[in-house]
Amino acid sequence: MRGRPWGIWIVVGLQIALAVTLLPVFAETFPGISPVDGISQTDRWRDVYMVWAVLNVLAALWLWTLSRRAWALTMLLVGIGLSANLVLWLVNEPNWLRMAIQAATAFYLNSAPVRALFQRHDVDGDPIVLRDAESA
Amino acid sequence: MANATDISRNRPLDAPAATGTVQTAADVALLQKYEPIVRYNHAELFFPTGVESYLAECDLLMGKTERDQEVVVPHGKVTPEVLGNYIAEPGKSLYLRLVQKPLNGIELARWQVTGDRPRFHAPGRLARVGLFGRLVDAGFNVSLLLRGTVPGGTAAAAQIKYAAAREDDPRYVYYGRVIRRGDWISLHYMYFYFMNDYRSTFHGVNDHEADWEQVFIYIEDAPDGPAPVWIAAAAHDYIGDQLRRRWDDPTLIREGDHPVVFAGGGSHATYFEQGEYMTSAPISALRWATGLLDAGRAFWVNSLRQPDPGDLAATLERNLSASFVDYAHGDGATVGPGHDGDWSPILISDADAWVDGYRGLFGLDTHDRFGGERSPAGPKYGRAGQQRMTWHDPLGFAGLDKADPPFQWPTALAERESELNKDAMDIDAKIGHLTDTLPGLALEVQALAADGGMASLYKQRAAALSAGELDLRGLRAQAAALQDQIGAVRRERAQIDAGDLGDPRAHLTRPHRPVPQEQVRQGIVVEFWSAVSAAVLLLVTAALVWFSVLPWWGALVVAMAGYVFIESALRQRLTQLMLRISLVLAFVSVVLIAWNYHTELVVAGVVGLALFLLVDNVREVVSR
Repeated sequence: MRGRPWGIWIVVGLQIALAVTLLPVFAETFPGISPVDGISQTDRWRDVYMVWAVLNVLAALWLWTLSRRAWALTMLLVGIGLSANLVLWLVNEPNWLRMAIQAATAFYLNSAPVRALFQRHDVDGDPIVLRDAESA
Repeated sequence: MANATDISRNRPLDAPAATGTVQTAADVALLQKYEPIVRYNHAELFFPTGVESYLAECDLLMGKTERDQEVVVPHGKVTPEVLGNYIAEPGKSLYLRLVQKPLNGIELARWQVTGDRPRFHAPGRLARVGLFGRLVDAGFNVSLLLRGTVPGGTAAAAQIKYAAAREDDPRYVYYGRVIRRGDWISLHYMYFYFMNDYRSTFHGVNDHEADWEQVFIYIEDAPDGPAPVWIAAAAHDYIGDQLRRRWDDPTLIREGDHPVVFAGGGSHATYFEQGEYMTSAPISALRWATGLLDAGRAFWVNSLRQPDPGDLAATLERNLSASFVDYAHGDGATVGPGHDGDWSPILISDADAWVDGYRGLFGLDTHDRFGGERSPAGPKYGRAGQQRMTWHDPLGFAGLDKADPPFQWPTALAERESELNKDAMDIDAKIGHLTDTLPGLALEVQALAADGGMASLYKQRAAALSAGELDLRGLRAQAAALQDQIGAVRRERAQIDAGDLGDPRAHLTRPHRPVPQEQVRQGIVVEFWSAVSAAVLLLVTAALVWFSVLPWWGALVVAMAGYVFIESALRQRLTQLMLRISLVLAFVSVVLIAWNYHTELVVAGVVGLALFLLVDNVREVVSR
């Protein structure tokens, strides 16, 4: 077992928690909390949320292995999540908590020590450029 | 190698020059001893030549504007003597014209496909700059339609004339001067070309008839014989320290006593290193942002612990610059001792009428308001008729007016040390005086304080005591600084006495270096995309607006996003792009959160501070 900073545990936990809130079963159990709550059973968005939630859980579990590819995938999902949150803000339905968690996750994963950690624990073999070419 | 008859073509040796020096055969020998070897691009069309053969092909015009110009000396009648005696009428200016009739389209096409001239090929320069640079490049090309420019077909016609002139006079000529000032001897080499065809042959910034380029070699006139110390080369409009290299600079190539320099393709700008040079036009209006960007970088790296993005101001300037490439490949003809051709030196000075008397342009005056497509004036004058700095102050041109020759450095340092020692002794004397007088003054103030009836006097003397104390502190600080200065001067002197002149590149803060090879070569797909991207972006934006798919700003955003995506994909930087977008979105989100919860954030900050103070102070009390 490789040592992981607390931040990685927290990020993995938060990503899974956020993903769970997107599942229909969560919306039915805790009405009023999930963003899925209020969307009709027949709406295609429920399926999209479902797929999105599963993808996020898988990415979070993969991130736990300190894979560089998982790091890149998580950053991509965080970016998409932030885009969705900004669209919701534009239509006056902001979810500030999700937005704050995603923003903090982005900055944490991009921090120099965390990047170095994922560079060191290369489990994929294939190189992924985590460092900007200009700053190299 | 040229002989004395070549040299005396313009003016007899030993004739006095107006600069106050007498130029002798020894000066000529000095010029020849260190004459540079110039390496040209393989596709170069023009090489240094004498002005006589050029003038023989020119007519002389005078006028106020492009429209009212008239030929005052016809083609075939222009000679150095005629030129030197012609003065422009009030309100008018003079200029030579090499090409009276540029080639038309058919003639140009025929010229392009015939002959054994080498063709120029180079990797696409647009692939090396960002979108802004490509758009500026497009705007630059459009501006050529609106500005005064050298007509198409001029370079080809000039090349035909030059080729014919070379049949009669195949010499490679440089014009030379030897200027003595103090213990410096400046060797001034001037190269005259029929034409600068940088734009039409090498995809560069400008074309103009006639071109003067210059190299200087600075020699110390030491007691044990003259020795070269510096070389400076003119490149575009740069001046100052960055232009010169020390003789022992490891990047300076030398063959014996001859330095090797590289001429830019068509521009003939001179470079010390072989390669390709970006001639960026920095956007000076953005300089104000440098401090802001540096502060942002420090916050990003130190406070947020994010990776260092590098010099943001430099990156911004690079991305927002219109860039052209000066190709100093050095893979063509080489002129200089032992190479494809030897130099034929010709001495010039103020005594030469065409040098001193003619203040007009040496080629076509296009009246280009940006100046780039206007011909230069002669070797002595600028376009406005003022003397060139290279002519009246060759030392200052390369930032050497503040420097002594190295053989004088030990003496100069000894003198400086002596001056500093004298200053130190003066300060020591003042310190001694104050240390003698202040204790007595302190006791006097103490005595005055004891008597309330002398309060006024007490205040005066106490003030004098305070002032004396301050003076003493200041003098001691000055004495300490002087000791540091003296120590530094002594160390420098010891180093020089040991033969070490220090880092030869210490004066270079922004040396002009060639672009690294890995940035020069791009894939064919990237080069093709670079060539068409700006046009595609504009077409897509126009189509989206025309067909009412999106408002103009939306169309611009979509087109830009598409451009960024394709550019990143082609350069295999999609991961970086995704990362950057995520970070930008995170930053925007943080700003929105802070804006929405600013009251709560302020309250939380105040509560946090209060708790910190509480815990810290209570801990201090408890730990007693």
